[in-house]
Amino acid sequence: MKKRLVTFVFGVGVLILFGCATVKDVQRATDLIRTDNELTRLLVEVRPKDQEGSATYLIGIATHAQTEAESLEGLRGKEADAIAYYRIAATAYWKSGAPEVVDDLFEATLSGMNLCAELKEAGPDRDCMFLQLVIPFAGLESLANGVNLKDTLGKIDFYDNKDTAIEIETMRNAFGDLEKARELIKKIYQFETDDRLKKHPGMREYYCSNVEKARNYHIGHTGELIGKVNDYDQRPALQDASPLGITIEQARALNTIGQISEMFMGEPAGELKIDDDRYPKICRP
Amino acid sequence: MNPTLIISGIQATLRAAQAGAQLYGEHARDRKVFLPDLELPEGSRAAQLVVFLKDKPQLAGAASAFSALWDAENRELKSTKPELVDAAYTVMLQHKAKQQLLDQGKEENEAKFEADMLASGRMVEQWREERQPPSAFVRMALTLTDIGLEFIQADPTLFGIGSRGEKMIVAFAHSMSALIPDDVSAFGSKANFADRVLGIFLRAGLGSLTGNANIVLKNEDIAGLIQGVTKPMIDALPESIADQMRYRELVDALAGPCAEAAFALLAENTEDFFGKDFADDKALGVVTSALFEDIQRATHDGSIVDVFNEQGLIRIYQAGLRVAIERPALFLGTDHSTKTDLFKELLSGSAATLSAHPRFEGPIGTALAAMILDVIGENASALFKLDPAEPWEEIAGIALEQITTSLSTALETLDEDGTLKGALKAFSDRQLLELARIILQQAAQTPGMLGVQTSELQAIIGGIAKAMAADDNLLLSPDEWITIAGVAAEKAAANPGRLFGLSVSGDDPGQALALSVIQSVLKVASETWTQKGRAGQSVLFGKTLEKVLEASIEALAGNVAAAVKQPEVVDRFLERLKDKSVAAPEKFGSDAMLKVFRGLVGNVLAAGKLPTEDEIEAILFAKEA
Repeated sequence: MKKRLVTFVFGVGVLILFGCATVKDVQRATDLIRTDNELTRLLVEVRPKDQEGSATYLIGIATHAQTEAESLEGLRGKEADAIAYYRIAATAYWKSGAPEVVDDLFEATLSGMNLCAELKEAGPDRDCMFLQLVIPFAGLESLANGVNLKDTLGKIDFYDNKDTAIEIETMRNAFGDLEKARELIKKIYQFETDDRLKKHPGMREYYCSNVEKARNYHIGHTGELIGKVNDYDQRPALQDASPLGITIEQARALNTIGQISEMFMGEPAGELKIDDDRYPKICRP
Repeated sequence: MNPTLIISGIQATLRAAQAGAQLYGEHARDRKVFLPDLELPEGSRAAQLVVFLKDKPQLAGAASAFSALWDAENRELKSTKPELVDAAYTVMLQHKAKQQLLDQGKEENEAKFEADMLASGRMVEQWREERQPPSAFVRMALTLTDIGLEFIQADPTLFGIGSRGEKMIVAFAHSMSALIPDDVSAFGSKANFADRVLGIFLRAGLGSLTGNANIVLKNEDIAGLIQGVTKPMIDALPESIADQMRYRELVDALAGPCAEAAFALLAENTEDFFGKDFADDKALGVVTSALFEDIQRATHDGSIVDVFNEQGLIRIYQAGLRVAIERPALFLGTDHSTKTDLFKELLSGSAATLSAHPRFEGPIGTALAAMILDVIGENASALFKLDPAEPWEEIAGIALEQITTSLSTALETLDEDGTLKGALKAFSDRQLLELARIILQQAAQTPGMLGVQTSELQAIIGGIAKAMAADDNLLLSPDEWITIAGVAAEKAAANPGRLFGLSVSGDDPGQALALSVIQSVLKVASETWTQKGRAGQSVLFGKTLEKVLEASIEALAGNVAAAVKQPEVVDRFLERLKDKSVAAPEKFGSDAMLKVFRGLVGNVLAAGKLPTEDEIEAILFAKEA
């Protein structure tokens, strides 16, 4: 409290001394609020009803925010404003789901993260944490929606003796996709070691609810793939025809993401398994 | 926590803000924003089963459908045979449905927008706990600063070192702690609400400064308003979400106008109260608590909001505040304790009275209640000397009842064609209100005339209303009737039980002396008018008739021994004068008739004899004194 108070009063004192606030600052603050509000409106009200239509507007907002952010780069004392605009741009690019703006998504996110790195502890907590998450989130979402394992892996039936060769190919592709997903989830899990999360309940809840979604996605599909491998192994006749090329150990290993840090919360972190319900520790009661 | 430091911060920021608005920028960056969730496709039935059984391993052995496909040791699917998956999936759905039933009702009261957001993301604040504004106190300080900045944009002259705007914000900041209870944890969910209400009041206060260049407010006045008006609004916030939804809606509608009303009174009274405290916060608190607690209470007749509507409530509240400001003692006990139920009972009593008289539903009823509150409050201490046997709030309630009853009776008595009787048909709501006000004002200024046990007010209003109903030819305008009512009330006040107490008819106790005399005068005037109109050369209408009636009523304060026994003596006297005026219009115009009537009506009422020609001539040709 005292720290906040001192910052507040000190900040005000600095303002008086240098008289640096301008009408432009007020206009920018208003624009920031409006842009944020418009983004929320599009995401909450428009996008659920019209995903394709909203993409155009989201890209428009993202472009505006990115332009504003870039115009602030290099200006002393304006880093936090720039980061807020980058956060908006990254969110809007991500949720537009448009492949043509992936490069912009990276550009905006990395620029924001660089500014956060410059500010170190003084960086705005939420915005800087979010920027670290947005690329793995967007990557996982894009991958999952692109491969649609429900319609591929979910349709495999090794008991019907039909199209087995195609099904084997589908299994191998699914395995590859789940390996990619594992890497993205590893990045998401790694974020739990960020100490800021411990002291930011709102961001922790946001993080944990999304980790839960990512985890469920991965262990569900990996579990299904394991089941299919077991099915295959129980049908020796099929193995004679063509090897699956995926062992049960390999399939199980899809749930292992290795060691993300040596120690975590006072304990040796050990090798992390996605389906281990002790992880992420920060999300456990 | 050092409030001085906070207040210095606010002052400094406001001054700095004249050159910019850094704090506004900070607010734009730091407020909660929406962060969207991951949207991943749902897995197949087998994939959903894996997640379910990994999260609930205890259920895996509980149903054969699960154990048929689940390897509990390795925590994985043994098989994905469609028939096994389908059977297990059905059992899983049953478990989920059961769980859902258990959880039902949890989010019933969530707002739709909020629910949508929770489903697809969440609102996340900027800072970690240690870097967040930690208390309601700081949040309120930021709110005050924020609003100050808003006004700087609109009116920069309001701010500056020692300026009126800055002083007001500082006064608000000084009083912020009054809104936060000693046990801060008990404040809980009220913190945001308190912040909002404080903001509404500051806006109203700064608005009143903008609109009034001369107003100078003292810290004590602001403190009184915050303690007495703002705090009760916050304290009355109910606990349940359902109750809060309604209360918040009403506060949104009422708090702004209530704050404006309070500041308007403050501005109005600044000069009058120069040198002494403007308001007693306890008295203001009684009025505000009553209003904001009563608006939540619904009876079988509906709530007071239904009776008065929001606009009307604000009007009544303003009337109550005025009484609390001018006569705070009326709301306090002898030991300076607060009479907390007083205004509440007054509000609910008024609502019940008005509900019982449909003619007074809507704005006129509200205006009537506010007027009565004003008049009774203004005269209360002189009238009743705070006699515990005659509590002023009961008197006000009874006055409202008597006025509405007597006016309703008159207004509900209709002609055969369904229209109102006599002059009543020409009365607007404003004029009816003025009629009631002028009589009530007179009664309130007369000790003993209003009381729990007395019905003199009702008799006067009822009598005047009956007299007006007799003016079928509309010989007098509503405004002229209001003047006559004022005279009648004044004379009735000065002569207890006489004008509207003495009956001239053994058969009809309601046929009061004054009513009888007024009806006699109207009868003569009407006969002439009905027969020939203006061609009949009658002068008994309009102003002349008004003066004749005034003179008659004034004379009733004198010796009326004969008039009580033979009230028709007034008719005869007036008939005689009228005949003279028709016979010799060149000599006997309206002025002459008035002169003679005024000069001799007292004798006529006392002796019951008509004046001689000589007496009339003597008055007519007497030199003006």
